Amino acid sequence: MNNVSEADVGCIVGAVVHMVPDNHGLVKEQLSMLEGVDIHVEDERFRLVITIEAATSRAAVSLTESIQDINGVMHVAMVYQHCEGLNKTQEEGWTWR
Amino acid sequence: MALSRREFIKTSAAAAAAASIQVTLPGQAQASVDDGRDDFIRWDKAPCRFCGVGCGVLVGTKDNRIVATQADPKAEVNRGINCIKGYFLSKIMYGEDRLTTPLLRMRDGKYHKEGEFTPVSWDDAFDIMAEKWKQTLGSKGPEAIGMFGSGQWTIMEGYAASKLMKAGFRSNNIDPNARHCMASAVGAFMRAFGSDEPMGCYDDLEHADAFVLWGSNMAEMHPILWTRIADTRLSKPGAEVHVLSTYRHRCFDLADNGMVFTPQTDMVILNYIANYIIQNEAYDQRFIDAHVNFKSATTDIGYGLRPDHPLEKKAKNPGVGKMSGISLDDYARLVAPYTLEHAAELSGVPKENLLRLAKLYADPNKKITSLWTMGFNQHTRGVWTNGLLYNIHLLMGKISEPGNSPFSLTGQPSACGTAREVGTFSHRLPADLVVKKKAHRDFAEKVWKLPEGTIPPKPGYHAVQHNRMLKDGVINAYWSMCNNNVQAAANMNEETLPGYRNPENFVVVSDPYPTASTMAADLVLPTAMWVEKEGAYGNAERRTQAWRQQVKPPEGAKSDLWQLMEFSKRFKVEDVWTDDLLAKMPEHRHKTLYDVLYRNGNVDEFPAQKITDADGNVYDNDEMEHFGFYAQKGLFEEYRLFGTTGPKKGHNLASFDQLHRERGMRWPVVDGKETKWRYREGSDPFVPTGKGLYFYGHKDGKANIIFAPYEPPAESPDETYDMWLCTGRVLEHWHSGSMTQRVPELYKAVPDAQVFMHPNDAKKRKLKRGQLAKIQSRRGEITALIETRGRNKPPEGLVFVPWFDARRLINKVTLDSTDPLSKQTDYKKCAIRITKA
Amino acid sequence: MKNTLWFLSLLLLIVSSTAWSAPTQVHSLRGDAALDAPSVPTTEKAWRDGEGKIQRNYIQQPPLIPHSTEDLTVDLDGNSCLMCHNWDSEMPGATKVGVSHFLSRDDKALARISPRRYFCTQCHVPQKIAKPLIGNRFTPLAE
Repeated sequence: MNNVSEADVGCIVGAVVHMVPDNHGLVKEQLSMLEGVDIHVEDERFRLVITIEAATSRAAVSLTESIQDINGVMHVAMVYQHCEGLNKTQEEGWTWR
Repeated sequence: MALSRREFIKTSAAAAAAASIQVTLPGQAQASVDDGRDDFIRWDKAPCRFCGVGCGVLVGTKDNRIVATQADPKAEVNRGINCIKGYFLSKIMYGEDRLTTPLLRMRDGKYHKEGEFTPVSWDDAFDIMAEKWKQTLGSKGPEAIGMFGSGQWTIMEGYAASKLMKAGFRSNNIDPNARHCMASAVGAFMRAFGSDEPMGCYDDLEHADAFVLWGSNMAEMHPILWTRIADTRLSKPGAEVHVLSTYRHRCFDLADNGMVFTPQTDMVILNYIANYIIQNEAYDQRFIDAHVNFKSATTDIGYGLRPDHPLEKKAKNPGVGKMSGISLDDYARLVAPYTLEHAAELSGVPKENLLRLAKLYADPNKKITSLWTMGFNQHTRGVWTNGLLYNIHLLMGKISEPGNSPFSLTGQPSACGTAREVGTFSHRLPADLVVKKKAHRDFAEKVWKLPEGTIPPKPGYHAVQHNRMLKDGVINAYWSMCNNNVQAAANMNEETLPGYRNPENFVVVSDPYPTASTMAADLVLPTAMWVEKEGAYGNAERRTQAWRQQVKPPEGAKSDLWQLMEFSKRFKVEDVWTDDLLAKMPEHRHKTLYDVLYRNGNVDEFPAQKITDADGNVYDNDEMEHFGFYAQKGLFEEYRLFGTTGPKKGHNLASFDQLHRERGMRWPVVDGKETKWRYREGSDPFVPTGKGLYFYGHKDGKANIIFAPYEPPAESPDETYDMWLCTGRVLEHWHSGSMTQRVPELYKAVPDAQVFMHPNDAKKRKLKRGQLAKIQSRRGEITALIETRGRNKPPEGLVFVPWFDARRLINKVTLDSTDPLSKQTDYKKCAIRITKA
Repeated sequence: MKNTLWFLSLLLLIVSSTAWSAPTQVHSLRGDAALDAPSVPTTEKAWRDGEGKIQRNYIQQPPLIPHSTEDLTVDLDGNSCLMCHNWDSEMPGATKVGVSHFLSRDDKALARISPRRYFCTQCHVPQKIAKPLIGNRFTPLAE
């Protein structure tokens, strides 16, 4: 698990990463080095279920794009996105941006 | 340990992603995902809004907004790729100037032809429409109302409109914009095979050894099919691509044999190839004996102009489609004058290129897919020319089998599915039935539960005639839906504008956006687009594809279907039917057209229900909510009866429910199985056992080889107007640009229509690239920037101008000559001159 | 007396007029030009021809070309785009063609660019420096 300061997270994305079969080991390595990215499960068809945590929505998209650019990634499908709205009051562990 | 909010959301995110690929997360308690359901991007399938290829897309929706689209990897047509227009589908609904209220020209508080557009309620809009319709029907009858429909209507909308006009108002004056694009192809299908639509399918693109493109710029107009051709050409050893056009375009980049020919001489080249096949005895005698009849067309048939035009007065047999039976020997004699020398001389194509093409067709071992679109169809001899191509394939027996495919490509997304198959034409009914045959009318009346004699037997006015009749004040109440005919129709200054602005006429235009057509109308109705409503389209390979409503339209905008059904409520049957018709079904007295057409037990058969997909997502259906029953399903299933139980066999469609489940199905669909190659035993269930190949559109099961001679175009360059004008499209813009010009990326790719011309022609006229030039004909003029180094490279003496640009309306310049048999306008040939603006 | 009468009728007229909707400005992409007016004049626009990527609105959108492509060719003789954008190119700043472009129609991995992706211009287009005729309210997911 990658440690991102709880105060920094405003957006959480759930996505599926489709990998080229030959490179899947390298892809997982690269992903595990990215801050804010957690791999939850991999299936037998070389697909990863990941979550992405970032401070802002822009940062989340930017991070998703850089995952797309990783050598060996065929496709990233964003399935779920939740961003804290600007109106949200401060909750335990959250800071709005 | 209690989950913190962040952990909870993270778990929901992971669970959602896992669920989307049907994978379970290890160990973790499945956190309820209901909380996060709003954060899902819902992906659902739909066919693309644009061309006749009919690619599958996935539409991504969140919070009632489209947030993305992508190519559907599971769609057989395109397998995960789109063209540039398809990739920007998510933006087409969001132009800032979406119409949200009906607009009526008013002055001093009431309707006035010269008034200013004033917002009115839907109620008021239908009030004035009903008033004008009733006035016209009462004083002049059903022949004085008209409707101009669309190959971009959904199948259900086209069917509802056809019923309203033909059975409700009892008028055959309904014609679609598909008249401008596919009528010649339809005419040729009926003459050669007795049944409309291609016998092959897109699978031919992988099976063929060679491709011949006739007047079709597939690289820009059918891009995904072009990628399939490129795929075959670049990976199959020995594959060849031949391209014929009146100017060089992007398809020439893949051509092994690129040919530029003088306009109209495609006919000469086609007859030459037939002649070559006969001279070299390459034809398949056994095939001809078993499957072919020979016929000859009546010649000197005019140009579809107004009857008092000198060309029409000169024609010996204007509009005559009669064919006479001949023998193979007769046919051989008729094509004999079309020698290589003659073809090369008239067309300007070098002999070696023509010979190479002829040898290709004459080679019995080469599987050939011929493709064409507007070059053949928008042609004053379009029906004949389509036929001349079929002649070649029939002589060689290259038909109805994988790879051997004369493939007529369709331009619009549902010219096949809606306009042709539903029959929204002035002379047609669904499933290839025609109004002039009593047996066909009887069948329709039975399905529609209406009295005998409801449907008028005489064909109504066709597209080009609509504008002429508006100008002449013969049609006085007119409704145009889902098209931009003021920009699309030829000869705007002389016919279209005077027609729409004739004070005797009340013109209604339904559109999502303000267009040239809305600006010429008297009442504008704000309309819902594409996935703002549930619908279905049918593409060029007979694939019918359905989609669910993804988002709600802007407040105030309503679908074409809603408008048609609501309008029908304004008419009591006794207002629009004669007494003797009503006497046959007196129980209909005091009912409205809505009751009789749409609450007839068929269309309202399916009660309102929850619409869900396989994943349990729930979808809107605004029409179901409003009318209280599943209108789209009821309309489709009633329409389906024409194909499954009607007089012309082989048009069976899959069920409504099956179409929603599948990524489309190619008709005829029997027992849940689609048909790839028609007329071929083993593939087409309607071929009698043991027949092998049977063209069951004709009683004797045979196809027609029809000879027709070269006849010149309506207007050729002369001393004053010394150049040819050819019009068409570009990749980045669809049709009149009302959708694509509002997408910033597509606009910036091609912001202005340009006049593509040869650098020598520019130099001769002291013009430079990038200068504004005037393009002028006898009928009108526009200005456009000169392009001498663009994607299109015309030969000297010809220019090309696309018609997507509302700011320079090229159809002020074009001529409304048509193929007199199909009534389809020839947009590819007229005479112009170019000067400095 | 006459003036009062006149004034009252005027008042009545004004009051009753305000009960109806006011006319509204509607324009097609032709702008102010009437349908029978001459073409809207225009001038040649330059290509955006610089460095840097053009921001996409969503991942699935094919990147736009930030430079002019005039005189670049893709035909049977070769694909000039790939000279800079192929996976093994050393050209700095040139976005490499994605892995998806090396899959066949049947999803098999290929050593060279898939023939179905050969004609770049069907999906990727350059941009002219031009102000859109009308705004577009599409909002991507990120906002």
